[in-house]
Amino acid sequence: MALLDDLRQGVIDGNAPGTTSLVKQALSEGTPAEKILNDGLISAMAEVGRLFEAGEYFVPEMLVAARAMKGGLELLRPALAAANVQAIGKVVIGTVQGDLHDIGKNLVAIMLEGAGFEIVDLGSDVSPQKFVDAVAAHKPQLVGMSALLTTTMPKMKTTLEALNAAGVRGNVKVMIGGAPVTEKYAMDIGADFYAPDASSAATRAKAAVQGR
Amino acid sequence: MTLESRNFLPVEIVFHPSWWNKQYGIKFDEAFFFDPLTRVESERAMRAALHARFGDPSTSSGQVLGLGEANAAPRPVIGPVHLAAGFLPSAVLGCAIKYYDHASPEVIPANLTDAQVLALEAPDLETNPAFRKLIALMDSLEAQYGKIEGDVNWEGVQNVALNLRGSQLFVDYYENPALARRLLNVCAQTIEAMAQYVRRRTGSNSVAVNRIVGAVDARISLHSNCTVAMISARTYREYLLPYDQQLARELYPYGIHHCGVDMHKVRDEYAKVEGAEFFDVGWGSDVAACRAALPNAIFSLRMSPVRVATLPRDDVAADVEALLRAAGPLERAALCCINLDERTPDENVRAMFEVVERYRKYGA
Ligand code: B12
Repeated sequence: MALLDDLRQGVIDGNAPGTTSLVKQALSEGTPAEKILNDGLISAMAEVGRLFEAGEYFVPEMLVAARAMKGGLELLRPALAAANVQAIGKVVIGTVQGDLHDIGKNLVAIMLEGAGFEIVDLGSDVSPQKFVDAVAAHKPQLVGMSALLTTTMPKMKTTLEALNAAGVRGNVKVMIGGAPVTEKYAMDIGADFYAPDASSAATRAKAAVQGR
Repeated sequence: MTLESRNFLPVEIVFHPSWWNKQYGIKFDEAFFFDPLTRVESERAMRAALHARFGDPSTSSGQVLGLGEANAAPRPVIGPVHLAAGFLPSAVLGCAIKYYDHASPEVIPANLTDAQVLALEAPDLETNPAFRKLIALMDSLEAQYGKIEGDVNWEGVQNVALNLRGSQLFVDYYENPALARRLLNVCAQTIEAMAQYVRRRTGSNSVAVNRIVGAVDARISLHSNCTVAMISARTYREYLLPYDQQLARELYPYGIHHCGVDMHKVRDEYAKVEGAEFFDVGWGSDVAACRAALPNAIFSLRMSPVRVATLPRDDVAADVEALLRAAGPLERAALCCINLDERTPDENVRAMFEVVERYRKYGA
């Protein structure tokens, strides 16, 4: 459908005004909200993720695409709710305590949202207790932790221990990431999985919720 | 003009504050940076410690690392030349700074609004409160010693702009280019003024950006492009290349610090910066490709501090060899490892120096 192709391209190009007007048009033409979401927004973010992995897109291009996607999603929300479309899962995500780097975490949140997840973003410098409280309050399937500093990486372990101590660790899968983090580190501290970038984070998160 | 290195194939290391704090109790609080007595004593203690540990003539291969200074006496060093931490330009432009005993000072992002960016001007350094602290330190040491030496890290145009505006800067690149340029201009003016001021008074401005500058040619102005790793070559060309070109004219001899893993991405752009004759080549970059684009520049080859801290010594030696083999003429190469943390085994540091010594003697 040409309109949805244009919408998809609008997101990829980071054209926020174009994206919102195309979403409006699609809705007014009676296109199901779920189809607009899947074939327009989600499909666009998958392509944006691919371009990022391929080294064609960098952080600025991701950020403007994300803004366009979010604008479109806001418009779609009421229609999605009316049609009873469910998110594929809920993720609580944050950058660990002592760490202010949130650009990577934001991109991960965007790609997860773009993949159909509902996001509870706790921001940066998030204490273990805040993660625990958010898991209790929001009952997510997944918890995501980001760290960019070798000095804050150990807080991932502390947070896992806090989730354990609070008795909620078993209810969630925990994924971790950030430049200094590795697969091995994830295994060492008892996280469920690791992803090196935002688009593989989305792929793995999907596999994780669908696999259970 | 072509820059020549004062030393043949120099090598330098810089330890992370956590190493210094744990091993020698050095504290990186505000006094470390600005209090005259603490400043001079900390630098003296650091030189003495490096000498005690790595100045000895008897490594496993019997070769001299020659770090630090025997019987280190107090010297009027105005900035941390055994550290790699930039924060002063961001502070001069209004960011708050948080100091730690065991880590580099932290710049608190200012997240300026559009209106705040429009109101921002490059300040007069002589009256700027953050810069006054440095001037006061310089004046005091100069009065006491009759001369001053060393410098402070003056960061880089986009690094500082990101500290001020946050990642909104990247959105501005697409949605408000005029605002982005305005902010980059203010940052460029400010850091150029700082770099000029410091070099005028001490003769150098970038040993605190990377110590290797002191071993190559202390006059080099090394501009930090840490955050160029986050943008495309096209964005670099559009927004940042003009500043590198302008700064290279004003601050010759000029160097570019690219600590990201992808200097090859912008190698052709860097080749267009006339006067840039020194490059700090980030670990992970394709060194041979960079050399092909920049045949006459001096390359400071950056080792990965994480690998040097965590890999067996033979792997560290292999990393050095791979870098030196890819770097082209050894007269135009230097090696460094910056921010080695407290996990780093001494023998891995020695391994770096030993391989370099072999290359100095026998060539590639
Ligand atoms: C931008 C930046 C900053 C900005 C952060 C702004 C912000 N709002 O985020 C500011 C200026 C605030 C900053 C401050 C500091 N920084 Co800084 N910073 C960077 C820089 C240049 C880029 C980081 C970034 O955003 N990358 C781009 C994103 C897209 O990549 P990413 O974060 O890796 O995320 C991707 C993946 O890792 C993954 N991912 C990330 N999170 C998650 C989470 C999950 C669950 C999953 C699955 C995946 C995943 O997906 C992402 C997208 O693909 C890096 C250097 C570099 N080139 O990496 C240094 C760097 C991280 N900083 C560093 C340092 C030292 C600091 C400071 C201590 C410096 C100082 N003295 O002020 C402070 C610390 C502040 C604090 N307490 O956190 C060091 C860390 C060294 C170390 N070994 O620990 C680095 C590596 C620079 C260096 N070479 O020394 N910094």
